[in-house]
Amino acid sequence: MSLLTPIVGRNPRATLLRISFTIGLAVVVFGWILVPLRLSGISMLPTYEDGALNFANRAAYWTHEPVRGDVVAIRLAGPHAFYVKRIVGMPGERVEIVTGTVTVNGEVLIEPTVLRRAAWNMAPVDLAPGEFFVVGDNRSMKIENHDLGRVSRRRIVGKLLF
Amino acid sequence: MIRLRRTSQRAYAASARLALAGVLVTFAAACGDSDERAIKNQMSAIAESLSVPENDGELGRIARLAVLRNVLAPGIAVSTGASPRPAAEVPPELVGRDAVLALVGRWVPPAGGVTIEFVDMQVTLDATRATAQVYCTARISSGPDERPVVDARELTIGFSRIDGSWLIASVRPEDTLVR
Repeated sequence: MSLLTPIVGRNPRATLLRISFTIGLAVVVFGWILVPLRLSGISMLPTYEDGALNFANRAAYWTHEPVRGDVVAIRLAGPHAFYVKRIVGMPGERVEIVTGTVTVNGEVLIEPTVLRRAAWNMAPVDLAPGEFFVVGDNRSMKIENHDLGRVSRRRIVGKLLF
Repeated sequence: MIRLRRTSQRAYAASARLALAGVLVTFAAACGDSDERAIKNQMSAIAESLSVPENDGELGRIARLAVLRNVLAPGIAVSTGASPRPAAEVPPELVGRDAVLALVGRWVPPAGGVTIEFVDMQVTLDATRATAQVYCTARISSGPDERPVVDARELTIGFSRIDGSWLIASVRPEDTLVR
């Protein structure tokens, strides 16, 4: 029994294979399926605190399209920065904001995740096929300081895991 | 037994060649195109000149402006993305190096300083290699401790080769979310 045996085991080749498999699995899972992200900013308060860790689950949309209420990661120029927003409008719908209340096709959208609302107003927006309307849960700030709007499906990377 | 050993020797030799090829490809990719590298270096210089350390002094500010001046083309056009309003602090479009430097010079950074970095850079050179476009995300972070990201914007930055140097000729923000 050599000194290395406790580290590499009795079968070093099998140990090496196990290590390689684990590393490969981690690369695949965290590179292509669960993209790790750290939330920055206050636009998703109170649902997500500034600095919270989460994952964008790409697999969530392998079998179905995003749906209203999903919190999604939205790609900017590449994989190192995302916006995190909630989907409130689906393709083909008309979204409007009247004194802080979101309406979809003229009907008020019930949003239990929004606790504080400033009196936002936004003219009606018609969503094209493949377009979603996204907004953060924190509506207490001025609308000018909040990133919201239409986003194309190809920019939606995945759904937040938790 | 001997046959097995030979087979494994061949396999090891093939693996070694593959590994060597991989290293060479990685090295070539890392070295990349010299123009592309020069543009990326300019982007780093810009990021550094726009970042303000905590407790920055007047000298530091002047030094950063001098660095910035060296990377801007005289006829630079910057679209700020601001909505056009009369007497607005930030106009929707700035034209000319002096106008851009004046705006940056007037800017008061947050108390804890600010760090700007460009990530996910995609450099596209035109056929004549006289102009280039960089599509990237500008990440802005601030604060004394872990410097959380406070904003992120997509940008398209146009470069022109002037007297052998790559200088910024245009800056245009891209709308990730369209209102």
